[in-house]
Amino acid sequence: MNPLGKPEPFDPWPFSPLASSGVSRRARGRSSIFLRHCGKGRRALLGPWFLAAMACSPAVRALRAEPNVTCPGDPASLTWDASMAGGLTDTPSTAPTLWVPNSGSMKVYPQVKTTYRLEVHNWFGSDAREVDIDVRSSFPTKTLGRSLSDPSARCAQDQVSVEVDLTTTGWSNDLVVQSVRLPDGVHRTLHVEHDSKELTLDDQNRESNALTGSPVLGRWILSTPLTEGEVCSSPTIPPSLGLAVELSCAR
Amino acid sequence: MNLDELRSKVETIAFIMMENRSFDHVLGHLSLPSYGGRANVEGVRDLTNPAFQNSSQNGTLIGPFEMGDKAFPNDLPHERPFVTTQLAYAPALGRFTMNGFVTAYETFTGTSGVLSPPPMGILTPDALPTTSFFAREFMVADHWFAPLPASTQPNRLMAFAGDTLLDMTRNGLMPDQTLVFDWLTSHGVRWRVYTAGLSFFTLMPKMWPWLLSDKFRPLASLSFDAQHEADSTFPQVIFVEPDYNDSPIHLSGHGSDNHPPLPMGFGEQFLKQAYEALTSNVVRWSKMVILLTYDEHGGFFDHVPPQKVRYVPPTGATFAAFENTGIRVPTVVISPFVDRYSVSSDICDHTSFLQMIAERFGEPGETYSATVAARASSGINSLTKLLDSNLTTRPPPDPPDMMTLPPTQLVTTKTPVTSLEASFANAIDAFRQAHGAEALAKFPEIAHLEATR
Repeated sequence: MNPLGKPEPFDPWPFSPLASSGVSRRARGRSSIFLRHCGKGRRALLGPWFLAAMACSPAVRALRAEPNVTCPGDPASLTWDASMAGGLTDTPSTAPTLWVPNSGSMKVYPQVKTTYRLEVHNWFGSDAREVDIDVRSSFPTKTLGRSLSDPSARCAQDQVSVEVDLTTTGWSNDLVVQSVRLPDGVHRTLHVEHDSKELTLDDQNRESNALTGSPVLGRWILSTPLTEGEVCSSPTIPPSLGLAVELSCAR
Repeated sequence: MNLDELRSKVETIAFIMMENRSFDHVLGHLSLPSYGGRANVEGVRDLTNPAFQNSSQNGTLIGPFEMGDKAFPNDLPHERPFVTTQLAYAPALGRFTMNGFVTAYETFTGTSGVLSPPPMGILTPDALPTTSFFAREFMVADHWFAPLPASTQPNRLMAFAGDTLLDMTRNGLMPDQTLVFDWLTSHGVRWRVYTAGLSFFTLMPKMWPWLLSDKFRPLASLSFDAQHEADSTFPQVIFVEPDYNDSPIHLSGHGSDNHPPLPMGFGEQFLKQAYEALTSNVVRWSKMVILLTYDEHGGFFDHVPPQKVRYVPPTGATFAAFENTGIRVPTVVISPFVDRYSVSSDICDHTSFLQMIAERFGEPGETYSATVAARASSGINSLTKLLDSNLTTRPPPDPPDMMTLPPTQLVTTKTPVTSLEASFANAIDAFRQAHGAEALAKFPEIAHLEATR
């Protein structure tokens, strides 16, 4: 299977200098023509030649991989938005550069961890974005968590907490928890709520199998009790709460 | 060093400002055990420290990682709103958590699922032969902050004016503020700018007459001037400018200011050239202080929260006041008045340089400006404080010969994309229109740009 899938119909000469504008080379220097053809969302400036050209510099506005943590062969969606057609490549390479239109999406089915790169070029410059899809049948530890600057973060009299909502935009349905543990370097009690289960980790019990088999998707609530003398503004409160999780594929 | 010693012992002050890297990104490795583990440097002592982990959109936490020199696929976010995201103020804790760098990157680039996001990269010494040499032989200032949590133009204005009418980098000409060059001129101080490419000050129309004058010379002239120019004309304050990546013209085929997506190799080569030229006269070296810093963090991770220093915009500016400094930037003081392997953790920002300028060249008790004095009152130290007059003068050590240049496509002209690139292009065109053949004669780069259009 070609993991990059089939391209949609698009401009057959995406890398020709003026492909997206349709302006002939002879028309260069006529700002008004450039401004008329630069397309939605592009800068349009009145001014001399190079300012008009600037309006036509290509840009990649987005390249997303969803989900981006998957099992081998799982489908993932690549979605992109650029100012012009461009070239999509994958590393490790499974196919030659795929020419894609300026925006769109496609399914990919990576078998291994893959980096996708979308690059756009024209006469006036280039732009690129790279994203990864992490693909394994069993994952080395990933740390789930959130900054305590997150809107879900709370610091009450006795604890600090934060919520992490894992959705299918990030994670494959097939991923299940093998074990959880306190991240290296963390030496405070951590309460975990997920999949209608609760557990507590601390220095004496750093690892737990209580969530084995639970889907990784869903809401995780992480909290840590304040220690004696600690208040919410204490510098000892960590800037984020995290949980080290080992995952595997259910099938 | 006290002020009397400063006035009697320091004859030449040189200032080099590079672009868009954070302290941890460039010098954080100094504290890593695998690279010497300097306990006195506030760097990244442990890559796995949970406190350094940043949130990402998919719910994972991502820590810093070692990286070699390379070109990035794109620039990183560093305008004021993105810096706010990066600082990640936590109302629940009442402090900055410094873990929003990945979120800001994902938002800015429209990406998700990047396993090794560029903001979290920590450069290793093999990527930084010149900077590592400076860090070994001279003083690392590990609490030097960009003055404002904002981008290039506001921070460069703070560095060269002590005030800014902007809180964002914009794509037009920059406002004609009173600059350090005006201060030096009014105080009868000799100054000069040496440029490796087109000067940043092309963006300011008030500077154009000076750009065309002998006040601006190519970097290639610096070594000769340092060795042969008479004391009566040799500048007391020297500004050395890299070839800005945001300029549309690079006769060498690349910028050298270290602005992403540029790799570091060209900047390392530029710094070596500037250092060798500045130190080529051993007598002048013995009375010289060179400040090497970066204008702002450029979107890269740093773990030290900014300092609480309020900045109220001056009359004519409409932006909201800043309540704190920007993020730490890599800074090295290169001078016979600093020791090998030394570190200063005194709180400084770019106005620390202006404090020292006033202390060295002003009347006794004179401050550079009310704004700079106010920052001093808020805890920003003068660069003078970092110097030690009791050291035995040593000859300038030789930098390493081996330079690594990363494979990068060489392009002599390019079309602007970002606001600062547009600002440069706009300024060059206006400068050319205002000064015609005179501008082309002084800066053949502009003729090259026009020839390639």
